[in-house]
Amino acid sequence: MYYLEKRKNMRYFLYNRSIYNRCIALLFSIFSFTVLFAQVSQHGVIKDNNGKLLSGVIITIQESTISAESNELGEFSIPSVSGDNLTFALDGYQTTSKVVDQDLKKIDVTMQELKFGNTEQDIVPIAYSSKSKRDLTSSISMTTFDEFGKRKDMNAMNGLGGLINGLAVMSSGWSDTGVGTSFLIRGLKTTSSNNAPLVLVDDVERTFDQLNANEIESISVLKDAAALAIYGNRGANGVVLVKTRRGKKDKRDIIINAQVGMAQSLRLPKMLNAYDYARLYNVAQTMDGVAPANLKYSDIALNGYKDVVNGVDSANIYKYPNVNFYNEFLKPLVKQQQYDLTMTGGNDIAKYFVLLGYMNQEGAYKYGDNSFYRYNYRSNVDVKLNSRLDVSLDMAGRLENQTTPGGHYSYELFGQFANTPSNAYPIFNENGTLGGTNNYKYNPYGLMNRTGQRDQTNRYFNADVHFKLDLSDFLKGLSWNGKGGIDFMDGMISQLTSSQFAVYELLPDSTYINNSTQDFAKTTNFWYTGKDRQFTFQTSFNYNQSWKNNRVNALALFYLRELNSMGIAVPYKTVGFVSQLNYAYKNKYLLEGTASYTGSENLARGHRFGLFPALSAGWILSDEDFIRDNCNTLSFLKLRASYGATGLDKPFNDRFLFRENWGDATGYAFGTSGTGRTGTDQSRIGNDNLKWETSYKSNIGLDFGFLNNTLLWTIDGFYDNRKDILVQKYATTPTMAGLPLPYENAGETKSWGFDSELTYDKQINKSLRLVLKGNVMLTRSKIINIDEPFKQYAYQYQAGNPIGQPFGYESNGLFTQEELDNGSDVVQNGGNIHAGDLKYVDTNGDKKIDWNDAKPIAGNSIPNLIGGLNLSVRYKLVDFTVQMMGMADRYIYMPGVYSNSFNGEGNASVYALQAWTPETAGTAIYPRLSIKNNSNNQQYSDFWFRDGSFVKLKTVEIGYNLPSSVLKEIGISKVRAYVNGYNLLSFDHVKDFDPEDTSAGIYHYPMQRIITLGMNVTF
Amino acid sequence: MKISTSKIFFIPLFIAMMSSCESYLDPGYDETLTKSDVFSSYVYSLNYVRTIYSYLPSGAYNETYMTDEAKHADEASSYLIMNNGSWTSRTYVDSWTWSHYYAGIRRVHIFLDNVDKAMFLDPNTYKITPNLNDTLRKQLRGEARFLRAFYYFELLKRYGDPTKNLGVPIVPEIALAINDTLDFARSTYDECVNYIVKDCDNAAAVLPMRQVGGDYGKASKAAALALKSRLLLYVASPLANPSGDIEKWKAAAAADTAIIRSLKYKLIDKATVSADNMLSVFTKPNNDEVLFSSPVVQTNDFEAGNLPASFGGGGQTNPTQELIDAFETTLGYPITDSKSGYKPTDPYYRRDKRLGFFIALNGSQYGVAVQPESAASLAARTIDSYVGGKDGLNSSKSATKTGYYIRKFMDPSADIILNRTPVTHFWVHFRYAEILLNYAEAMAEAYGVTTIPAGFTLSAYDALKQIRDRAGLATQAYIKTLSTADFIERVRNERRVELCFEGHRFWDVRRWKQGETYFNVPIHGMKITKNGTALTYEVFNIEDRVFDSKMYVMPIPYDEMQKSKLLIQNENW
Repeated sequence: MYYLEKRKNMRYFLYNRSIYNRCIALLFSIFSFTVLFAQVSQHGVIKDNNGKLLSGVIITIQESTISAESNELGEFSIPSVSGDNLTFALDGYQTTSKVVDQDLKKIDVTMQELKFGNTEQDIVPIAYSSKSKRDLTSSISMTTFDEFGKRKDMNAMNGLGGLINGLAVMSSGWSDTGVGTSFLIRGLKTTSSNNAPLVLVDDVERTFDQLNANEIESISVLKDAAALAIYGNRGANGVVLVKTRRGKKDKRDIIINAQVGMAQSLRLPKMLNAYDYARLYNVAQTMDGVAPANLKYSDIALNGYKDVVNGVDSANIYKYPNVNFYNEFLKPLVKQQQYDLTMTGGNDIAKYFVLLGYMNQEGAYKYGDNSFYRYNYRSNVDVKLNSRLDVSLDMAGRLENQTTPGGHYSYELFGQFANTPSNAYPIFNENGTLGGTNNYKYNPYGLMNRTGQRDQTNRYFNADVHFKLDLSDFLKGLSWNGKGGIDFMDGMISQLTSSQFAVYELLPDSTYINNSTQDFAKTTNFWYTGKDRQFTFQTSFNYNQSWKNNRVNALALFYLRELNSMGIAVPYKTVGFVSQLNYAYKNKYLLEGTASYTGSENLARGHRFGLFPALSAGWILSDEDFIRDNCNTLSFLKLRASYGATGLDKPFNDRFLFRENWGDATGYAFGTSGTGRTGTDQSRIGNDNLKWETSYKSNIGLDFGFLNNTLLWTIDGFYDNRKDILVQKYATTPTMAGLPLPYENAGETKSWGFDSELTYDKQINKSLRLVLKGNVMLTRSKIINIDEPFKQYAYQYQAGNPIGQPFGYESNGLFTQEELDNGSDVVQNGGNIHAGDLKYVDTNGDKKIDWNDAKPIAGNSIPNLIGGLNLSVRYKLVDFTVQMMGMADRYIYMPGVYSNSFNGEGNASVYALQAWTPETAGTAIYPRLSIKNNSNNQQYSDFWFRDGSFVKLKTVEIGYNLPSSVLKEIGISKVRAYVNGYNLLSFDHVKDFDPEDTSAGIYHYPMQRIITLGMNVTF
Repeated sequence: MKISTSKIFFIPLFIAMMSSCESYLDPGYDETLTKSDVFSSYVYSLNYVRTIYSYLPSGAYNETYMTDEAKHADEASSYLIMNNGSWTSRTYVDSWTWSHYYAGIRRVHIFLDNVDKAMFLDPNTYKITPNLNDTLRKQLRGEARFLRAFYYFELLKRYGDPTKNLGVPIVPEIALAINDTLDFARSTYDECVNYIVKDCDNAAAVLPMRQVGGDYGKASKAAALALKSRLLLYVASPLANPSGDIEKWKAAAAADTAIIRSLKYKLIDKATVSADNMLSVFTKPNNDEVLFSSPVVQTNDFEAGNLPASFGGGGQTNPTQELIDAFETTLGYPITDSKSGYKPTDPYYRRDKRLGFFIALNGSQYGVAVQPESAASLAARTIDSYVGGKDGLNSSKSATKTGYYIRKFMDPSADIILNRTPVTHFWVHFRYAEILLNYAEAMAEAYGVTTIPAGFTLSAYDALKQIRDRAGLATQAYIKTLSTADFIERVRNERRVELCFEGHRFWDVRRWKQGETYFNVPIHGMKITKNGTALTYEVFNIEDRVFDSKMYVMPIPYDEMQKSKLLIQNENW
């Protein structure tokens, strides 16, 4: 297996030899420059902010191998040239940089003593603002570009797995435009269909899956009530907060990023070849009791298939086709490329960030027009208009276009690949026509080439204006913020398609039949898939003041959001009033109170506004003398606790559930013609008292810093109680009133667990820096109450089980002939049992397998345990990153194409080779094959569940920074070349399909392994 | 200090903002309808009437599989348990009827509550006239009450236990809301009967005897009276009337007379019923025989489900030998009678014509003859249900299990193999033949075979004779001389034959208290062996059937019993 992959990688290099060669040539040519530049020594003295001379400071020149160390007097000397960027690093001090100016003989450096929370990296985005980690009393985790930028997935959401503590990314392969990926924060929380967190980009509800990674500054996940109460009726499932990049003062960069990748489909389903298919089909028929004379494939046919499979020259591939659809129709490698230009800079008056990005990905199908490209644009500009007023203007847009063959979504094509037996038809008949039979008439070649093409374009634009007014004249520490934003989105499809094409089947008498298929003319269609506009508005007063040991930070905010979507008459609206008060005493006792009063259009007047309060507190223990004096290694310790409420006002896609609803219904025809049968009926009863789901969240956390904060450890325990979940009490309300039941707030669930994150970041010596980050989360959930009918057996109740617990039969091996001969006293469901069929456990002991025996089996595919590990090493000019992610305590149901061989004469996977036959009874893994719909074996049982735990090597990246001494001469400040591997390895229990996405390659694009070569050039 | 002044400033501002936000969030435009929208529009109001009607059953055809009339060809059919005695309150196949008919009843109540608010236009002039509104409202109210009666009757005949005087809950005549009490105890059987009779009488008082034209298919006076007739017949029958109270039979007989005397309905003449399977009764809308039916649809689902496999159908309904044996010979004697001329070696010779009309026998033909017809096409249209024939016993999964297929209701022009033409179908709820049979039975029980009391126009014998005459059956004089009990047996047999597959048998056997006689015995089929051109016939046992005395009434669905604190389950369920 490994060898094979290596070979594939080799093939990739060969395939892409020209690019590879060019890169190598460039690297070598730049190397040869390095020795040519003369250098002088730069001297200096390093002190801390108390004037203490610092020894042991490591001084390095960025993008070079040159380094030095300061002596006991704080003096250093380093050979450098004008314009070199010197970096000063020492444990316990903030890393500082200075640019060498040849006119100054000596550089004096002051290094700030490092306290937890006072560096730029320690600023955490929170709702509507940001906060130092030190002051944080809520539970928030985040990732930055350094980490997610290494995931070379075109879909920004897909690439987040394992990076953020507390966030589970349920990746659904590569469906056409990456749709299907979903997030879960701290596990499943409600039995209603909406478990998705609220996603905000720059504090506004927007999607970010199609953002360019280079325009994202950070992605944070807000997890506890203290962080979420501010979102009121939308915060119950957590919030993902995306911040886009902004310009920085005195830092002017123009960066060009170019990357070219080759993507390879992973874990394509393995189907039987034509010979095995025909042979096992006969075996299955035999076991169904078909007489040898009536088997579908004769010995001649079997030999014909055997010859074709073995590649015998005389074999007739038209009469005995053997088609591996994946090989025939998918490219082994597809190219994806991305080019970005980013410009950042700023001074005291203005700052800017501008991005232009282009991404292009080849389609995976060998035939037909198929590709995806995307342009991204962003400009975030901050201007200081006068000493009091700041204005920001942000604009972003993107254009996405996807071309696919025919009118076909990927599931239609992949469905054909997965479900057509290898011997169904040759792609082309001997006479050049397309092959196809009555059962299998959708020859993928025809679907790709004869049914036209579809062209889907999405356009997106948003603009935000943000004013910040300093009101210190009025009241010291007071400021006003106002922000307005608009978003436009539209999607359109134009397609030229025909619904049918002719396929021909070779009959035994060597004639062809076309099974009433024919080539239809293509027609043009155009329609919009969406036309949305969103308006948002926020205004707030902020008050910051400190005196003596007290520090106060207060916020009063009002926000409003209105979204108009195509085809929806009533816009989505949210309104909220928020107040938040932070108080710190001696900078070590922290207290925060939040209250938000939010409402949406979705509930009835008088019931649509809810008050969501939260209270949190933090205590920085490490600032207490008893810790400071006794624990030298412990440089920081904070205890946090929070409790509060937050809501979910749209648990279903259906809106206005409070309101009665009448509409067209099944009717009745009068007269003798039978026409005119539309009726009117009440489809929903109203419930004016309906309200949102409420989540009561408690969180307790500890933040540790060890060894001058080079090692940071955070651990949070949480306990959520979700109440007022919407249910319709059909199960407990007699139906004699005949009324459809309204939704009521009656369900309740609980969920709990912990998440933890560890960061180790150390400059080990002059040339080596090591960053290790790891996170792990364990969650549990329990249904306390949903409306359940009376059940005969206690194990049938969902209450008491985790949310999403599957119920089914427990399997107990396969029947042996002996057992059947002796007579089983348990009547199996489906009847007509043969040896080799699945045996189920009679849970209730009534000697009969029926639905009453179904009990909780296996578990949900949502993991209870997730984790990530990121290692980043920088040695001199080389950097190296490894990222891994894992999920455990989850179960996946085997895809049908594996578990349901031959059903209804359908396809069979290689698992059929391990199915039970009388000969292989001792070693068989899977139940007996059958051509008929063998309902006994297809019952929903634990047999078809697999342990879905896995660990994936998500990213390996090796980068090389060209020495700065070379680059300066040509006006470039930095060049970094890198090789990146994405989705490289998977360690799991299922070898034949992807554990992360079980239907990959069956219903949509498979997961991709991508090898990327890239280069960043900073001017 | 400062804070208090700002407070004073902010509080009114805050309140002002709050209230404006409430109205900002009001979904101003609203694509959904409310009740008042519906009943202020005459179109929606009339559409709502259609919805109330939609709760009517689309025929009771499926009940045939739970009787000795037929077997379902599919061994996995859910009707299987209804015959082997293993069904329970959880698995009773028609459990859905409980919530279904109560949902229909709720809609009647909503309508009666709101019909006065609705304005109706003259369908011709599109004008509102007060007089017309009154008339229309009165009629619509009548239709709604008829439907309520129908729905209650469907519940009562299943779940009501007349022996314990237990009916079904009669719910309040209002549109119940979620905050109302939604649990109800069962009313008595008598209360239910009176309630339904009252609704029928009220409906009959305002509805025309026969609905025609665009109104065809709406409830008529005849439909209301027919429902009353059937109800009273059930009430007078042995199960509900163990003491044999003759007044109950008199009431049942009286219910039919208005229909009979109206002369608005009659049996379709034997000359005009198509020579094939009495088809026009079931496929020609607005014929003289049908009092009330489900709406007309263009479909061939029935043919697709029931034609033999070689015709492209599912071969689903397999009539039993028991049913075949119930058909008399053309001489007018049961086959058990030596005078009938019945020969077991040639069992279908000179039998009641309806046998050929209703049952597809070996050698009979489906479909429309093509003129001139080739031997091959004739052979293709011919049923070969002999062993080894193309539709023979067990020749395929959907082949007959009894040796017979159904022919009744089957439109010969519905060619489902070639062009899949849909044909006209509707399911008859009440037809004049049933009225005559109801009448014959009730009259005989109440007054004897030939008596015509004052106010009546037909004797029991006269009514029976009309049915037999139409079938082309000789009605021998001896029938007139039979004892009342023997005569009633002949009426019951006539009912079994004439109304076969129409959803009567399941209930008739129960009300006659003959479940043990008919439903607790094995059913049989006919194995036909072809030897050259000679056919030999052998009756064989198909399956045992189980009937328990508790099965005279249906169990209230298990889930409903769990949900309700007030319902009492029927005995032994």
